[in-house]
Amino acid sequence: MIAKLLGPVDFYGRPRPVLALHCYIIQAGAFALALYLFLSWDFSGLALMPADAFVRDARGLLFTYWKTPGLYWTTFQFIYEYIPRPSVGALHAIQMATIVALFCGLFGIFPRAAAWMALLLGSHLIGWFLLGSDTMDASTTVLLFMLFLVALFPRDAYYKIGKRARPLALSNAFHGPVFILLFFMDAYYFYSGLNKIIDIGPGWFLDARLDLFSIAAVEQSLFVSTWSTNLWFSNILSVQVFAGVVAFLVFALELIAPIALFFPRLSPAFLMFFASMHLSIYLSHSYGYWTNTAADFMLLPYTAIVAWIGRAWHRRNGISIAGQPAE
Amino acid sequence: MTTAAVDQDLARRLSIGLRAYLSFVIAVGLALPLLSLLQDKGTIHVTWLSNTGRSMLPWAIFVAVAFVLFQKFVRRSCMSIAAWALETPGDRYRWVVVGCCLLIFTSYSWQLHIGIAHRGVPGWVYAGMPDVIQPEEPAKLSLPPDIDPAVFKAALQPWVMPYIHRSGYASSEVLFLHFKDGTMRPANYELAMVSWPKSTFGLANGQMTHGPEFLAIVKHNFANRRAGGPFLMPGAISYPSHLNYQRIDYRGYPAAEEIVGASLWTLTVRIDDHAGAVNIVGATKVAQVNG
Repeated sequence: MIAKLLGPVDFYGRPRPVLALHCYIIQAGAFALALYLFLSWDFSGLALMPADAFVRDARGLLFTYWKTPGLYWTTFQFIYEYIPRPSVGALHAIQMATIVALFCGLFGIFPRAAAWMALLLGSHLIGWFLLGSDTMDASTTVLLFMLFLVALFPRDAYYKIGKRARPLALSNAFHGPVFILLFFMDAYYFYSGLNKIIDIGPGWFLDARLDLFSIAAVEQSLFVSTWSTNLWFSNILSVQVFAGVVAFLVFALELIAPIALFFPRLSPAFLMFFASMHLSIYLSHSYGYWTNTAADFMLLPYTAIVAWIGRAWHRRNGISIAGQPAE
Repeated sequence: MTTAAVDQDLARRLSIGLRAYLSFVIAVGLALPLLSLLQDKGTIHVTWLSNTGRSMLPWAIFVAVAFVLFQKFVRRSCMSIAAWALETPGDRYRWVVVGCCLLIFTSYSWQLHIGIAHRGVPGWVYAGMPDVIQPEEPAKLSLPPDIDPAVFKAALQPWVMPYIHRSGYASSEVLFLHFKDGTMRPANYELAMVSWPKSTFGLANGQMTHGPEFLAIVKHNFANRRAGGPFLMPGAISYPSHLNYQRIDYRGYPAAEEIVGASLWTLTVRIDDHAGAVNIVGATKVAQVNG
């Protein structure tokens, strides 16, 4: 029955040929975004925070079952139960090493090793920030996942210095990273929608009242101490009907993400909706989800786009070609 | 036994292993909210378990029931995945794809937040959010006689006024930095690097438990921002921080070494929408941290 229901979702079936270009885009995008973030934020100040800001038990609001979130272990925060906390200089050195690794990865110098190194060092710094700040900054999570994905790329999917780039090489193997990233973003969006039902109820979009938030955001902006917002955007979102429609669209599309994102012909539209959603969150709340936005762009069907451009070019020049696979 | 038969046998065994793993994940995913519920009722006490996870119980039951009801589909899917993974013995990347998908599934099912994946953004609403601007004047408004009201006015952003469409009174807590030259200038909690500085640094009843650490972090971040950006990128184009406070241009402030303290105030303003005016009418000190 489910197979019938999901009949058109051929993405769940066997992988199809994907251009190496798509993996190059993911590699360049992941390294460039990580570089942008690590050049922008200064993590070294975390060394000055009181030690009890990094204790095992985190706020219940963010970590559902476990008093100690998994990142305490996976980002190696637990080592400070055995060794002294690093100084400002040591954290600065870790951040600079991460930046060097990211530069290497971006320019194709030992990209796999660079991705692993950036992932290990970068996740350690981000782990400090998330634990110390009691937050679950989703943009850093997506960023770390993209580095993890690049670290696990198939061998031929990297662009590298000293290796001839073949962006138009077509292979089933290149489908793997694209599929994993799509599956990850799928889970990310779906659980965000599900959490709205679990935490608030199926009527979340009626109670969301983004208009009230927008009015408050504008009025609070009189003081420099408050959160930042884009005044004209919040002014538009303060119209109740408009805010309600936006909330409904976010809610509905997050919940159908597991199906919607896997319709090859529809997924670009859904991805662009989610990219717009992240942009609107930046405008209203000032949270820069650029890694999430970029992940949406990285999942566009580049193989099909290139095939379409190729067909158009051949048609224009009067050359007949065999059909290209569509992704 | 032929190669195809061996592969078939291996695929069958792998499929069984896959189903066993999924069953295990779903069973634990069901046990966690159940235990969380019992913890909340006081029936059990498990030190590592939070009682907030009980809200996930309906979803966990739904997943478990669906897993049992659609066994045929699950069996067929696991068999397809196993056959695909074994199809090309030299292609190890297929195992990476299967492994990553299982990692994502496990992480979300158990709400692990392992750094590279978290539980999804929580749901919250703004219904019932109180109005920032109140029509009634708050009781006991006063201004400290020894501080020039212009000092407090520097913490306002009057260019917001064209976007405000009602008159009344609004209050907000504002952080001020104190410098050696005797001036106090507005700042915000972005300098403290955390989302919840009051709890992190232990602010209660006008006292801050970790005052020296608070001031050290404020000085550290202030020095960067005064130099033009939070780190190596210029502030105007740097990756937006998750600490989404207003941007303050600190470049005209004295140097970080000149900071001798910080104070937290509740400021109240009167807003006249028609005249487009905003004026400070009250300022109450909440806390003071000295270096």
